[in-house]
Amino acid sequence: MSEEDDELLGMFVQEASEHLETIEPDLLTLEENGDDTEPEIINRLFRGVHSIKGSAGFFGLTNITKLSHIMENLLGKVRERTMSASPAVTDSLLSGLDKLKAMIGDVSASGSVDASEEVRVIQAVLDGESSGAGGAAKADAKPAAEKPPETKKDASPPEDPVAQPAPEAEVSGEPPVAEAPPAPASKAAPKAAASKAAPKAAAPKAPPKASVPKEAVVSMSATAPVGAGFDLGNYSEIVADAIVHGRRFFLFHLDTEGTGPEKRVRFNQTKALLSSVGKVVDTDPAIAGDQDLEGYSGVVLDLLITTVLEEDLLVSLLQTDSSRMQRLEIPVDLARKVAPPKGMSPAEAARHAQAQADTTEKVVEAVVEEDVGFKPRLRRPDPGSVAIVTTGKGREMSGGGASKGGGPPAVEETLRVSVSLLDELINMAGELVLARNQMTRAAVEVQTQFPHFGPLIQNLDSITSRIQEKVMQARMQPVSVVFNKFPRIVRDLARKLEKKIDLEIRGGEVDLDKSVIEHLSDPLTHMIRNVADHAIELPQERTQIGKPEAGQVELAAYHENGLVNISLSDDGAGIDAERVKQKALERGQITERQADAMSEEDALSLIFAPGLSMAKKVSDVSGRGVGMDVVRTNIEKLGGTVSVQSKVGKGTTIILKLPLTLAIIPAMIVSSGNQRFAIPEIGLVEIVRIAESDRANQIETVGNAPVLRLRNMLLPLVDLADVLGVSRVWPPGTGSSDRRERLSDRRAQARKAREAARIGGSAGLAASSGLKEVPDRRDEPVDRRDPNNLVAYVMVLNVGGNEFGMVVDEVLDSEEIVVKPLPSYFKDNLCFSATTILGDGSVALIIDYAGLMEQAKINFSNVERATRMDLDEERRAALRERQNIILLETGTGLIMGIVHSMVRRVEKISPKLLDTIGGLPYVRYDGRTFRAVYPDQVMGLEGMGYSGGDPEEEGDADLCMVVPNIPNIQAGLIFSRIIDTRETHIDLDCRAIRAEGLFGSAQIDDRVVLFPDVNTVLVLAGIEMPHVQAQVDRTGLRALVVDDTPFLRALTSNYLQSVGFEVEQAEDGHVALTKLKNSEFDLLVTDLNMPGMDGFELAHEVPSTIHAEIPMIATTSSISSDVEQKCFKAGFVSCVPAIDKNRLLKVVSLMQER
Amino acid sequence: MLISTFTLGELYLGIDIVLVREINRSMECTPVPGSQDYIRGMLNIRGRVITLFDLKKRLGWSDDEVADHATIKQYNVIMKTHSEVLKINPALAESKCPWEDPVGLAVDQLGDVREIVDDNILPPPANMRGISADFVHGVVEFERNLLIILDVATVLGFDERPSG
Repeated sequence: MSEEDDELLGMFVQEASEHLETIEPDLLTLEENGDDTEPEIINRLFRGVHSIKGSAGFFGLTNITKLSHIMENLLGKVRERTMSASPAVTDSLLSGLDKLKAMIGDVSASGSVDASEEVRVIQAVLDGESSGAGGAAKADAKPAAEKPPETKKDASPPEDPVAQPAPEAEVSGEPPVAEAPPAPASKAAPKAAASKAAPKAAAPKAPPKASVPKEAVVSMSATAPVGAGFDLGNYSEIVADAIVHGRRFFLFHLDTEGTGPEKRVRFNQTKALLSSVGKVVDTDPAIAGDQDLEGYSGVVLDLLITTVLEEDLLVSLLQTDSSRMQRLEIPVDLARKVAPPKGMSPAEAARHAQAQADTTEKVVEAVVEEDVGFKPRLRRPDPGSVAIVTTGKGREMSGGGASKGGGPPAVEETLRVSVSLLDELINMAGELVLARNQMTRAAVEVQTQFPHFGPLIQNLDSITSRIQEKVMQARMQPVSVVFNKFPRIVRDLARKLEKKIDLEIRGGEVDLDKSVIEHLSDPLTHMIRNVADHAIELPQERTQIGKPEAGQVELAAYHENGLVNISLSDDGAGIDAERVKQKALERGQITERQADAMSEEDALSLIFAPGLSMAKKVSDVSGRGVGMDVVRTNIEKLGGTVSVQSKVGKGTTIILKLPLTLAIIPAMIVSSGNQRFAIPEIGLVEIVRIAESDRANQIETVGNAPVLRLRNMLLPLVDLADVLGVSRVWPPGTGSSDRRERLSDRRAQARKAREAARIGGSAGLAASSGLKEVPDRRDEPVDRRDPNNLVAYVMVLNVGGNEFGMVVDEVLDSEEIVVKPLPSYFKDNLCFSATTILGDGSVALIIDYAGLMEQAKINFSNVERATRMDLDEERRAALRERQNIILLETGTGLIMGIVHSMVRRVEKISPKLLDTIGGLPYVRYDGRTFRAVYPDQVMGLEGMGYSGGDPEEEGDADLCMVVPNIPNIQAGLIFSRIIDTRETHIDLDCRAIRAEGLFGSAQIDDRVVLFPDVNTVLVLAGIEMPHVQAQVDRTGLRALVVDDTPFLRALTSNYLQSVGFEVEQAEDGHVALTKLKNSEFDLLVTDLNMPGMDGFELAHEVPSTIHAEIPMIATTSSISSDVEQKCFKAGFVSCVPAIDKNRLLKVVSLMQER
Repeated sequence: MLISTFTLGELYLGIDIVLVREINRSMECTPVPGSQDYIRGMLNIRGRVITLFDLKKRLGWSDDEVADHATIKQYNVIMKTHSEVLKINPALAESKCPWEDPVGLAVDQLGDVREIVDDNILPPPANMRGISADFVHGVVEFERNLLIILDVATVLGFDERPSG
């Protein structure tokens, strides 16, 4: 094959692929709408397949020709309405389409692809429904056979009011170079003959066509075997070219008789004869280049010829007679469309013609094509003929949403540019930016001498920026390139899974860099597959639970914060976070503690964990999971992130956040060991500045590895210089480069420094941590040799959900850097992903976090992760308020615990002081009479003790009486002895032992301790409480009680429930916030001191919920005026001691009055 | 063919000029942590990132030998890439220029451009000092000087031929 042919073949592939891409959605539409499908769509389908067939024939791609041919036949039937668009039809067509795609994808191998199965299936469909239409050959002959009536019909131009334009008038509209005298249009048997054979099909097509004055047909001798028709509109580029070069078009009927080989000879002969004066544009039926035309015996072979010759000359050249030759006039409107305006130079005319041709269909010979270079596919015009484009536009104007894709938007003039050229341009634009940067730097000095220099530089600056921006844009492609393949995938999946799924696509026009687009396809396919497979329920299930039968899936792209978000939402089953957790637990991927501490969001993101998704079981349970780790890996490779939100029963949304481009990224320039490195900002969470003097405080060691204590987290640390093995000059400025110090040495040094500082009496610099703190420290005249001023920076990085800190010496700058590939010599180095050129022209390496992590052997695998979490847990425990408890033993041997603050005092009393008045025990003490209450009796727990004797007969041992801290109460709880007082936190178990007046039990020192609710116990004993609650009745209102201590939580809840509140509990601020966001509350009572989010933070967040006005009460174990003031500032109504029922209820009652 | 010549310590070396893109005075370059010791680092030359080889270290000179000439201001011989040579001389590109990355060699002093006749190129003698025969394409005698023509592909780590 000659080089030219190769080029043509490339064009064919491109064109065919474009056709295939419209064919698919059209087929889906056809399937959906069946026989109601707009004729326009069927026509477009037909044309697409037809033109593939034609071109493939030209190149001798037999297999493609065969398959497309039979597909065309079937489509022809559908168009004629002689066959209904049943699922069988569309199925067979779709399978054919797939094979076509495969073959066109690898044209050179298409000859060896076996498409016979597809052909057979389609043939079967044809046979099954069409009467008489036997083999392919017969069908083949059909269009020709049906031609005469068709021609006749079309040949009655009077129907067509516009078909009469005076040729002269048109001539005047023609450029001088265009010799072709446009005569009564001879669009003749346009593809009509070839394609829309039956009048039936022609009918629906007529209205749009009416606007196009070209349906006239050349008169020809009735005896002449009328061959195929060619719609010149299909060849607009050639037509344009022809107009410019003064060529005409002829239809040449090759011999009807003769065998295949004979015809081949004749055909080749014709081609040869024509070669110097014109060429064969197309044939009908299509001929494969090296086919022996065996199947064409007895078939009229029509050639569309373009040549500069007059008809008679052509006839004599081809040694034929004029009856076989038929002049095809260029349709007037087509001529107008493709013809350049008057007065153009030939060159301009040619260009114009080409540009015009853009708006019409591309043919194999296309020179200039729509937009393929940068934005293939999206703004491509309708791949139909001119007529169709026209109707398409009309459709758009009339607002009719005829086809799914809508009409083509106004077409821009475009040029095809190779990607490599674009890449080169981008590179050079990048260099230009660098040159600009250097220039700007140099300009500072120059400007002092030449004041005019400033504005010049500024101008250069802005132009450079604009160039860069535009060049980057040129690489952008609409996401629809990827999105468009999903309707088909979803359709196939839905069918296979016997589900119904409606896929809606939004934001297909959002542009992304080519490199990003290319890598988006796989992850999205995975996600969509998962949705169809797991998320969407079966139709009957859906109807049962009141959902629409068809699952609604939306794939959308939109801009947000300079990133492109791609979201995939469904209204399916959703993911149960708890079950995901459960599964992860079972698989040992998380520890129980982790699971407990895990937020719903974190749990959901477990579906991206590699092991988890692999397990079949889990995918059943979680609803998702297969290959989700692949999704995350791929997206993160692109510098993007994945997140998932889900509501059980409601559906799931997965959001991908992607950078617009990979070629230019924002990065921090840092230095480590006197060398500069670029750190991509994506994944950079924050930068923490650590004063050397405070380093030892913040940096700890966990199992040999340094970690940074940052808020609630322990971050594993790596020192960039250590990992890279860069010699370090530390402290910077001390010179001797041999002094390589490891982090630990530096820590030791830091400790020494701290000691020195302490001795010196100077306070160490407080380490500050903050977001993106980038001081320009280059100008800072700091003597770094003073250890107190040594500073290091920790870049907190996030890799795949794991955070770690990277220690660098300095943070220099934030720059938009142009990413350049890493020379192959360094490909083995895990730590670097690419290179860039900094503003001063030097080369810097871009750090690859994941590689660095690997190199540094930071491993976030289960164990270490657990340690991390466990440490966290320990910290939480430490934070948890400790309670002072008095442990007492009852006469029956039960151990009870009473919180110290509930107790006013504990008195030792002699049993002799006990008295019974009116059947009730009293204690005379200190001149007053106290009602004596035996808590075990009151709660009915006496039987649980080991010595079930009557307490009153306990003998002479001293008893102790606990006087509760309740004002105006003359009562005491009687115990036999105090065991201990203990400061501890209580893990209250409210279930194991239940009794009225009992909060619950807890294990302290391996003994079961019961925690009575003193208030209730007193009430149970019949002691009238000096209630406030008598006035307080808040039945029907809802309160949220937030406390990390289960005991206090239960206590407070209890108090509130006693006055009618419906109480909901939360163990920390985060949980509370979620609850506040999701349901209605009338009161919020929160502990102040909690891990995670404390009471003040919570109060701060409350206004952002729907509960901006909710009254808030703070509870605390240590009340002080300081705290009270803080509470007041934070918006709390009041601050009460954690266990003070009366005060709490009083506050509540006051609020009621308000 | 034309040979661009230069010195490296006492060695008189040359490279087919078709393979040479440009020669610069040496400039600061960015070291790449963890790379081979004979790779000095990366340079930016008009927006191209060049990997610079320290030729002495590549030839296996000891640190002392390298240090002997440390004060000399060196030159960087920047090589063309495979695709660049391909445009000029496809045969040469295929046979002698397999590298796709822009690379440079750090050398001591520049010499003249010499025209030599292919027939005069002799196989490397066995007893050369300072350079292994693996890195030598051939030698030519010039005014009692031995001009060693470098096998750049081997120097850059593309050794197809079995090394001795």
